[in-house]
Amino acid sequence: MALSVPVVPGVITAPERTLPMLPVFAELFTTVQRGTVAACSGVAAGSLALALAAGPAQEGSWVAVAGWPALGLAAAAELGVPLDRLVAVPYPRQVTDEVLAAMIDGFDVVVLGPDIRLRSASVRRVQARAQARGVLLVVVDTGRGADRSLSADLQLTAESTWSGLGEGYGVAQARRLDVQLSGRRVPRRRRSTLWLPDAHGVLRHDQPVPVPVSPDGARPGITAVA
Amino acid sequence: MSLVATRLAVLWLPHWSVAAAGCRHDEAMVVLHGNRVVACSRSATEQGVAVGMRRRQAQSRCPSAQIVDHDPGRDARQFEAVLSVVTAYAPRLEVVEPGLLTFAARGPARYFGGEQAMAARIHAAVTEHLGGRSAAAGGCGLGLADGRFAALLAARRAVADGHPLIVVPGHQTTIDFLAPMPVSTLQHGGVPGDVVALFPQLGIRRLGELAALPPTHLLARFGDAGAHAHALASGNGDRPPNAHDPPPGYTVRHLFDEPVAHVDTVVFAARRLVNDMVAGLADEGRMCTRLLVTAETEHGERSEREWYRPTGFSVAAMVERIRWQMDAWVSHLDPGEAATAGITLLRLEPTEVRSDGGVQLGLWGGRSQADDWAQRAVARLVSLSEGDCAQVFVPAGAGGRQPSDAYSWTSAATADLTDAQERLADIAGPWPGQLPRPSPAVVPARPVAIEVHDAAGHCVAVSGRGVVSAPPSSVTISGRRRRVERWAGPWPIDERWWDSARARRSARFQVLTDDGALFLVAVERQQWLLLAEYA
Repeated sequence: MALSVPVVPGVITAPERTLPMLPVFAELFTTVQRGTVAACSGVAAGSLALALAAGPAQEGSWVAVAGWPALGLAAAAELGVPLDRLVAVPYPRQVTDEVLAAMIDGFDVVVLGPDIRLRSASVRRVQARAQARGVLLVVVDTGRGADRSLSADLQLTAESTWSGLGEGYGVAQARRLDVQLSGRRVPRRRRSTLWLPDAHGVLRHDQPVPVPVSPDGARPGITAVA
Repeated sequence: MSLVATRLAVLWLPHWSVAAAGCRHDEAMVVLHGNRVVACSRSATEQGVAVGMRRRQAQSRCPSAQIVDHDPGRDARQFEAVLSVVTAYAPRLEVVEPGLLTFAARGPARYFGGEQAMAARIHAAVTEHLGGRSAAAGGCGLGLADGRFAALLAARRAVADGHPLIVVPGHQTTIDFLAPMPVSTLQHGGVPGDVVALFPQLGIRRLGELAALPPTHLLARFGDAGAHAHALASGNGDRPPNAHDPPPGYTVRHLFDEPVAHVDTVVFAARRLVNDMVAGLADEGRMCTRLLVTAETEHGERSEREWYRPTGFSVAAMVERIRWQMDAWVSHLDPGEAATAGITLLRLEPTEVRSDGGVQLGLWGGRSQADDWAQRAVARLVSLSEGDCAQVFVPAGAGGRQPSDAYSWTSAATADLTDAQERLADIAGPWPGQLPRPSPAVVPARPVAIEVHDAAGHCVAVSGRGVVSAPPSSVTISGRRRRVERWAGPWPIDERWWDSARARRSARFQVLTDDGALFLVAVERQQWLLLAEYA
């Protein structure tokens, strides 16, 4: 590995300043800066957090999950997280400041689960450490007492619409998420419509279909029918 | 290549996992690992169950069979008692895996008046120790021959014969013994399976036919594996190719400042030692194939065990064996030699090494530098939780119909982090009744009790035939009532009906509430449960 760049703690070399994201987030961001704190909230917070972690993980980074005993591993795999690069300290009681520090030092992506509570002093330390070490910190906030005092650089909130489910028939097949992106590093709120997943099990974003417009303003191929 | 082969004895208990699980002689028992049979009792074998079958197939052949999960730790702990029986006759043993051990036959044979007498004594002692379990586990095979491979095949044949099998010393008799064996037996000698599978396609079916070929041709065509196969088939391959005694200086030891009574702490220290040793060997392009593990207590008791693995030990494999040895020693399975005080010394000595084919770090995918860093980080996390072990977890495949069953968590302290294929492979298998994708992202470890009411405020019930009393109109989860917008179900599921203790009969529903959240709920014995949330 003569080609690899030696990494001095606290110093991040230029080509490694960003982490790749899944193509499904293309309308929001294609990469994120290392040291970013991304918080996910709303009804799809868990899936969004896993999808955020999946991007770097697919490129070889490891993901550490702290304080999320109810993490659905099958869902993580479906959202693209390679399970061979996932490590967890699931029980929130055991996630001490020391454990969090070790996670931030050792892994590229650290997911803080919904059940974790941090003291305000720890919050600042964790955030500073994540920035210094260039770690993507993903916070899952399901509104059940998760810590909101981490000031998020990226805040993703989603409303979801399920399809495939009827009144006593069918089965949930596809979920459309209307994601709103805000946060400290986002000057203007952005929106995107994601399928997580669509009816074929694929993760994709809704591309606004460009409608070809002819010079005279009329849409081709459409004629008025009396 | 004519080596003076050592006289070796191999003791093989073919379905050891069954005996370790406590199966009595005429019980039908099947041990499963990842939905496949890894061992089955004699009674199950007689009803048509074979190793490698799927769970469903095994159950259709033998519905009364008791199903037990594979637990290598239990196998190893129970095997320690067998080891102490054999140690009374042959002090220096080498354990290949639980159920398979090797020892040098010359000394004990002289002491007990010949190989026949010695083999008969050991066979009788082991059979007596196992009692009814011996028959259930398919008997006990003891084979003596020149060299490890011939002795192993002799032991395998001895199982069928029911008495020890001794191959008369001498190169020619060994060759004559090996010649009619099928080439598939080479796998037991550590030849890669893909190479072994090629031989029958080339018209080579017996070891004798393989031995008749010029060794240089096999080396040219199949490389090291071919040369090794030829050496085994012609009775020369006592050691894997390139194996040799290690130069001194690789022995590593750890003195505990205070005597340690907790196995996990010893294993953690062992992991660091193993890392040092493997790194030292790797720097010279070697890997360990035989390892001597010695531990001493404050009271001067010793546990010494030699472990052998023809393909070489990885860090995880060594740590696992040290854990087996310590577990059995500390848990007083053998009152004569059990540890009565804390452990003060742990010493690891590689007694045989071979040159390592090497691992090329991947340029695209595969093993990378990040994996090495992550492993160090995991080791650090584990060290933080020392004393309160098993709080750092990695996923492992389990397989099942419910969302909580597909994967489980396993302790990162003992898992193999570099090669996760084995631990994640087991979820495949069709699981009829499993809900289609997408899977829920939030799956509580234990289902949460909830309430589901219909429009009239009555509790919704599902009849035995799967008829819903009324459409659900609200769910109450941890005190919060939500209106149901859409729902689907019931999907009845009837699991493990053959096992009254673990049987589960429930009907599952998907429920979409007015705030956009989708839940997977189930009713089981008239109690509604929240299984998962598609958060």
